Amino acid sequence: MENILLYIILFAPLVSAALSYFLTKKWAGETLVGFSLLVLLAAIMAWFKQPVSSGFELDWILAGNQNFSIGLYYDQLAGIMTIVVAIVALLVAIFSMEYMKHDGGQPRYFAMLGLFAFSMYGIVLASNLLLTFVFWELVGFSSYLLIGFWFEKDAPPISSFKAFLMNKVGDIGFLLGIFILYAFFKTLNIQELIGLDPVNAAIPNGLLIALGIGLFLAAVGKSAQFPLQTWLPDAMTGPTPVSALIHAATMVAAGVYLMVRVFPMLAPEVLTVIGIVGGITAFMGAFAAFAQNDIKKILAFSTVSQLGYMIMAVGAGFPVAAFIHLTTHAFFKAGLFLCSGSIIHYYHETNHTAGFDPQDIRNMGGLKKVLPFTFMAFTLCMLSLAGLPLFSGFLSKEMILNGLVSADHLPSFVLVFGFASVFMTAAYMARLYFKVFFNQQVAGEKYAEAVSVKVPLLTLSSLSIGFVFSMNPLSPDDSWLLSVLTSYKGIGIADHFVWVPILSIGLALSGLIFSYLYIERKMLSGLVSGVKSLTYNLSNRNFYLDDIYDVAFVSGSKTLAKAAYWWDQKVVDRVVNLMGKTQVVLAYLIGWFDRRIVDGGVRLVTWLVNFAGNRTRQVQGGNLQNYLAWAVFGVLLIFYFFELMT
Amino acid sequence: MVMDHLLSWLVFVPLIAAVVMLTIPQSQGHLYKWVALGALGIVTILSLVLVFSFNQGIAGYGADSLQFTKQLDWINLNVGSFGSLLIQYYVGVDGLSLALVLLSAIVLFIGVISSWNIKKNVQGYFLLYMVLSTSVIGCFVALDFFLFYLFFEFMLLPMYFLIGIWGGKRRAYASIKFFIYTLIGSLLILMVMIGLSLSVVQGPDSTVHTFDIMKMMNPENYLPGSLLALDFDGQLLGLTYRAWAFILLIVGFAIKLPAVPVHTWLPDAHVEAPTPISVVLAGILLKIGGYGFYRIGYTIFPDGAIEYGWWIALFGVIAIIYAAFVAMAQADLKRLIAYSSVSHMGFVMLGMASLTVEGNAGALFQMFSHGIISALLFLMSGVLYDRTGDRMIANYSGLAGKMPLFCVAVILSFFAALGLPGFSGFIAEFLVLIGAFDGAINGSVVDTFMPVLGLLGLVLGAAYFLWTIQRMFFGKFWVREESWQLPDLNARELIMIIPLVILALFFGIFPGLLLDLANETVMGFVEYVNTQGHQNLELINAAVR
Amino acid sequence: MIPIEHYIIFSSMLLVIGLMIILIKRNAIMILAGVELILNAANINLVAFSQNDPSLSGQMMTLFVIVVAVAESAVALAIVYQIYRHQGISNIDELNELKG
Repeated sequence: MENILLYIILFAPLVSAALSYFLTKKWAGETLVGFSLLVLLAAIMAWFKQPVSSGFELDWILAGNQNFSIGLYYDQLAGIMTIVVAIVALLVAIFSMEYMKHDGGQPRYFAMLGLFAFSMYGIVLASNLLLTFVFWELVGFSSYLLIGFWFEKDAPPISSFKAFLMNKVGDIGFLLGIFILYAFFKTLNIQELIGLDPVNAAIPNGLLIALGIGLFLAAVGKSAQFPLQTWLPDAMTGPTPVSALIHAATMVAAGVYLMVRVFPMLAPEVLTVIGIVGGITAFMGAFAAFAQNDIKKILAFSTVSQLGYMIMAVGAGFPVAAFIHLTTHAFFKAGLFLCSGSIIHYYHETNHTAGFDPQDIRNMGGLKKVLPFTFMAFTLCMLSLAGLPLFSGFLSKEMILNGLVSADHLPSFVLVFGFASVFMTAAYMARLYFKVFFNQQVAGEKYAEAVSVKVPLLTLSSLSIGFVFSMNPLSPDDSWLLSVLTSYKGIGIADHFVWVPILSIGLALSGLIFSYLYIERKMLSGLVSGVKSLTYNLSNRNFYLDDIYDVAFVSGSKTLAKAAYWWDQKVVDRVVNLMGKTQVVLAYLIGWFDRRIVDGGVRLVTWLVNFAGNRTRQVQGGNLQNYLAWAVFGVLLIFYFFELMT
Repeated sequence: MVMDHLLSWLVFVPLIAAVVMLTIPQSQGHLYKWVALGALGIVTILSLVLVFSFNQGIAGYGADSLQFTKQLDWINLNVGSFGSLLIQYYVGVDGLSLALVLLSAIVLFIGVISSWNIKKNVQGYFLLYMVLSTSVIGCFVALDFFLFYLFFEFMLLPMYFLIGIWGGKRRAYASIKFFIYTLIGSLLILMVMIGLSLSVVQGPDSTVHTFDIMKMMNPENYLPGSLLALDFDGQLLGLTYRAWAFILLIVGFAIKLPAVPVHTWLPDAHVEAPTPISVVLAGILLKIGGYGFYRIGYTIFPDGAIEYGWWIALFGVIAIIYAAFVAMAQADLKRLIAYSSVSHMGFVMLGMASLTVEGNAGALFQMFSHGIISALLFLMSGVLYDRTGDRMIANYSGLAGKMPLFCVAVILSFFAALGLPGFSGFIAEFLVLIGAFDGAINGSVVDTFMPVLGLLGLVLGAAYFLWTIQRMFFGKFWVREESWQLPDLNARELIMIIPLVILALFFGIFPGLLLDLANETVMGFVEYVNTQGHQNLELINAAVR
Repeated sequence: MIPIEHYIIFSSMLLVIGLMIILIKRNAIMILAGVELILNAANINLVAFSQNDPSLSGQMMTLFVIVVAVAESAVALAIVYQIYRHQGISNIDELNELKG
């Protein structure tokens, strides 16, 4: 029973999912909130009660003497992650009750959320890669279901399909990594593997790199890294609370979490690749966020960019920095998404004009007065995202940037991308911020947010403040997160560069001011429109990645599929049919031969017999006198022969 | 008494039911299906009894590890100076066949429920169905090659009529195609069987020629210098006769499996067959091909398994990728599912060829799991076809809003088919691929690129299944004919679907329950094929040189 | 003493006549008559050859033959008469009731 807390964390969401789908349909939201609260309590209790590096293993698949076991493993990393997930999941569940209150599919919705939470805790707590993979796929599945929640619309099913497929591509890499590890070490337990030190073990170098790239590919898919990042912006067609939970705070961070977990198994060459990919992703995401008009898409690209930061940090060799950024990012990004949810909800409730897009920021403005509470929360979370001092984002971003500067094995453009993205992040967030909340012309009456909206926003925005993570909000080194993670094997503390925080703060501030001047003061329009004319489409279309994939992979595989089918029908099957037909023709020929020649001969014989029979049938006419005549004839013949003989 | 002859009861209960059916007059037509249901219910219960009384701890592979055996002389033919020819009634199960017997019982039982609405010539239908059941189960328990072949051939006849009479529009074409294809396969097998019967005797000094598969495993039972003996130095086109025999067997069973490029009977047969027959065809009959690989091909010719394993794996991989692409291009739901079957059976070939315990356990598990899941998939297409008589994917859109239960069932079964963890398909594919990879790295006959390409098959599988879901079930509701009535699943359909979904989930979460049954046998089997195969190869090479 | 050849020629003529009657005639009674002729041809032969037989067993045989012939023709005539009565025919070609 020592692991009862882990069981509760893992299975309570599943129970809640089953209950809300089958039993407590009307109270589905309340069920999930209740169970999420239970999980959060269990997670906090586990932090204090559950011994570090504890867990258990169960036999699962026995193939020969090889045992594929599954089990749970608890350490600080898992502990922090469960608490983060539990907090966000609870708040999102609360928020969803308000957001989804008019939706008929609530039992389904909350059941799927429960299923997702179950799978997510599975990833966090799994002790070995097989179980991780199982839950890895299951989060993909629940994400598929949740993105496509409004299946009667056109876009959600397509984006859910896309999300699952792109994740599946990443999962292949995961499986490949698992295969390589298994082939050499015959175990998939993460701690055992780390103990066996794969990087220095006797594995051919090519396979060692393939192993790292494979595992990283899993993170590329799940954490929306270049070149598979395009599913994440599309996934915004799901309900907004889902985006907050899955596509901002937890599931997409699972890739980073995995990288942090398996960090000791990654070869140096792989780390370079990881760093480069992370840098590219961070830059591309930030760049693409500029020209989006959908509030959720901006946030989604921002998520892509921030995930790129985390991956960059892993590539630089500082997984702890990545993990801490994951933690801070989870709160402020979930906060931002819930704010956008609050805004969208407000428009849903108040504006019923047909064709009105409640997510288009061009329709928004002046919400500072309308949704003051949301405005306050958004401001805090945004400043945290921009990486200004006193906020949580500053702490983690400084750690990453310091790490990047001190990483020698990464090309210098990664560092440039890192700093450029700081500026861009601040700028596009400010663009969103000023357009939505200021911009007086489109304002409405003050709208009172529901308590179930306020509570999550309040919690998340307060968790975005730097004091929560560090007593000294200006120095990441004093973070308590860092001090509890000391036992983590991949720990590495970057050197300190005084110029790094100064530069990054300067960049972030200039980004904010730049957008402020452009949006609010209508200045700089010449400069901006110049840049715009060059880059708008590139940014708006996210470097045309989707178009490239459409041509290269989607229509490519469709064409290949058609070609394969053509081949199957026209060649393989035709050969078969042709063989069949040749046989039929041959059969006809043989049949003719059989009828005319073989059978003809036979019939000739029968004709002869028949002929002779007809001629001789008179002999046996049943006429006694005939018989007698023949008998007499016979006797005479006998006599004649006797005569001849003598 | 039942326990003594458990396997015989399993095999012949359907046949007894067929005889009972003959005594029921046509006017009592509704009784036929009840008799069929009862008979297969008994079979299912007996197979469960079999599973639960099976001793899974018996190690090794061969005559000693078989359980529930019955060995009786059946035909003892004295053929002069040649000696005598002994055909036995020899049945038994081990880990290889046990799961498949259970699978057959389940799928056949579901098939009867699915046949509930058959209207045309009910007596004939169920009579043929019972004969089919007997021969299918017979195939899985027969240990005498002749007996196996008898059951194997006997399957063709009812299948031919079941497709040819109760099928769709092009049923004549499909049934003939099916018949000819499988008959050719059978003939290849027959050739090898005759060759074996000439070579194999009961013991080293015996003149009693036998069809006993277990006897065929031992090289000492081959007459010295006979056609298929290890020391026979004759060659045909550069290959030994043993190699030819192995190739013939594998091609023969590959037709049944089916493997690319001899798979084209399958889509046609499936499209034209009535739903329950599709279910049985995909659920069990394909597995007989895979089982034949194991029980006949690999068991009798372990040397061939090592020499040609690479090719078998290659064709497996080709099937996985190629059939997945072809499936993607299908407009007809049932054809799509049929091609997905071909793709999934590729995993069986790959896993088996890897000659690792993981791969073989995975291949066996894949046969079981695919039996369950493909039955589900064909039931799904049957549900739609029953309502509208149309299976074109493009003629449906947004069904989820209209038939929510059906949509849930389809999502579950499609995700089960594309290998979502939690369903049995994942375990199977995972084991096959990890086994193949492990084998490739650690010097088995397969190459590394094969499991890697197999992984690609997983993505393609996800692509065509999800694309289908997206096109048919999501979006705005639209169907081609407004008059189509689309009520949600009814009770009878739920009775078929729910147990199958539960089974797929159950064995996906607790795969050990099935794998443990087979584990010792699979270990023994892999050990046997590897050691005996290499020994045989050395002897053959010595003889040929 | 009449040479034996004459007897033989005579009996042969009788035999041939009887045979021809049997072969040609369609009437049952005529056929019976033909049979009688053949029998008598045989009788003549028997009697003729008994010249050279002191025990006269040939003549004894002839007497038997005559008696048997009488009995035989009585039965045969009775049958023919009965057939004629029932069927109204005496032409043996039309008597095909028992033909398979």
